[in-house]
This record gives sequence, C-alpha cells and structure tokens, in this order.
Amino acid sequence: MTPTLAAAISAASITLAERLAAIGTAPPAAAAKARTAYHRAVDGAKAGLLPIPGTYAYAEPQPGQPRAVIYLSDARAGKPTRATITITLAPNARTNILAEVPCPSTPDEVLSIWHAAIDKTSAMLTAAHTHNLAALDALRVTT
Amino acid sequence: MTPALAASILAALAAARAEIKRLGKCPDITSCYEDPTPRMQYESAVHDAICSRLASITPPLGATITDATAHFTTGRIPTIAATFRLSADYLSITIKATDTTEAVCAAWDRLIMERITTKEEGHRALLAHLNSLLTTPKATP
Repeated sequence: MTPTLAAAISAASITLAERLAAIGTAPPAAAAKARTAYHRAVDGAKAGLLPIPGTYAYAEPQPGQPRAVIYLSDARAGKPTRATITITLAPNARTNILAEVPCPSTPDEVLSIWHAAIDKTSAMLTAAHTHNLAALDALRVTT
Repeated sequence: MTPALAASILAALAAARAEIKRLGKCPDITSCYEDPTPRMQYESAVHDAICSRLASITPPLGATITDATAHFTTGRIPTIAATFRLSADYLSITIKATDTTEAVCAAWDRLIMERITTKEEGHRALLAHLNSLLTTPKATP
C-alpha cells in the first residue's frame, strides 16, 4: 500500500466518522419512522466516498488491485453507528489479504493495519506451506 | 510409496504380463474390411489381465490406482503400466512392468523432491510479492 492510498483511505474514514457523528445516535426500534429516517441518513453518509481513489470500484476485483468496501454496524438505540472500511486484495487466486480499518483512522493507522494484515497472511501461508511440505516429505521412501 | 507397495505392484504387473504372454502377440488389423473382433477381444483380455491383478493389491491409506494402461503394437506383446496416486497432493507415478522396485522408489522420491522444490519456489515468490505490498518492504533473506 502506498502512502497516497493510505491517506485516501484515512480521509474517507475521517469523513465518514464525522458524518456519522453528525447524524447522532440511533432512535429506539419502537420509533419506526425515526428509525427509518436514521437508517436512510446513515446509508447516505457513504455517498461519494466510494470508490476510494486507488481502489477498485466494482464487485469483481481485478487481480492485484485493492478493493475498498464500507461496512456499517446496525446501531442499538442510543448508540451511534460504527463504520469500517474493509480493504481486500487478492495477489493470486488462493490468497486473500483482508484489512479492516475502523473509522476514523489516521494514515499511519491505516498503514499499520495493512502491514499487520500482510504479516498475518504471510504467517498463515507459511504455516500451511510447512504443513504441506511435511506431509509430502513423509511420503518419501527414504526420509 | 513404500518398497513393499512398489514390489507388490511390480509383482501384479509381472503376473499380468505372464498371462498376456500366454494370450500371444497383438493381432493385426490391416484394413477396415477385416473383422476387428479378434483384436477387440485381445485388447479386452489384456485389460482384464492387468485390472484383475492390480485389484488384488491393497494400497496404503490415501493411495489409489488411477489408471491401468496397455500400449498395443501389432505383432508384439503389449507394454503395460499402472498409474498410482498417493496422498492428496495429486502426485502420481506410472509403473511399468519392466521397472525394478529400486527404480520405482527412486523415481517416487525424485518426484516428491521435485514437488517440494516447486512448492518452495512458489512460496518464496508469494512471500516476496506480499512483502512488496508493504510500504517499506522488509529485507529479504
């Protein structure tokens, strides 16, 4: 991830957090009309933020190009809606890097989350690889 | 692949080969006007000879016989082979009736070592690619 992309994701996360804060907390479920209006406002908060520059816009990802998706929590009454920007990148058909960036996040935080996601993916792949090699080695006649 | 398994496969192939020799050489089909029945019957008998012998082998857990083949040449005793697959790694080895136990085991080990090398290279390339996705790639060992 480039610092430019991290900055763009951070900017989107901050904007979204500000918009959600301005919308306020969720009304009780009993207040059906207010609840519907709240949901509409929360959904509207995402408007114009996607695609984040440097990420892929469509559902079908391009190989090697990250995709950013905004997830909104279903807020309980009296609580604000939380948002997460999920960055996915598939370096190949079997590998998927998944980084969940809470809103708001600074560019440094975005980079840190991204690095942790890559480290986690590398560790998982290495563990699977070691296991596979051990299984293969056990099949040899002379070990 | 254990030496015992290799030996039992070879023994089954040798038994099949002995039966095929009793069947005689592969009959000729020179033209489409000729009756193809003897050749078809011969090929069928050869396949039966191989399959019935291989069916008597109990492969170890995870191993399967994937193919039993015969190569037919008019006027010759067919060459026969059995393909085995071991483990879920889709490694397979074709054993000919003329192979030795040592050759089969050596070929099997070679196949595994080649697969390990390929996997090592692929894994290193993937990790290097993941590393390149960091803002500041780590020094590769």
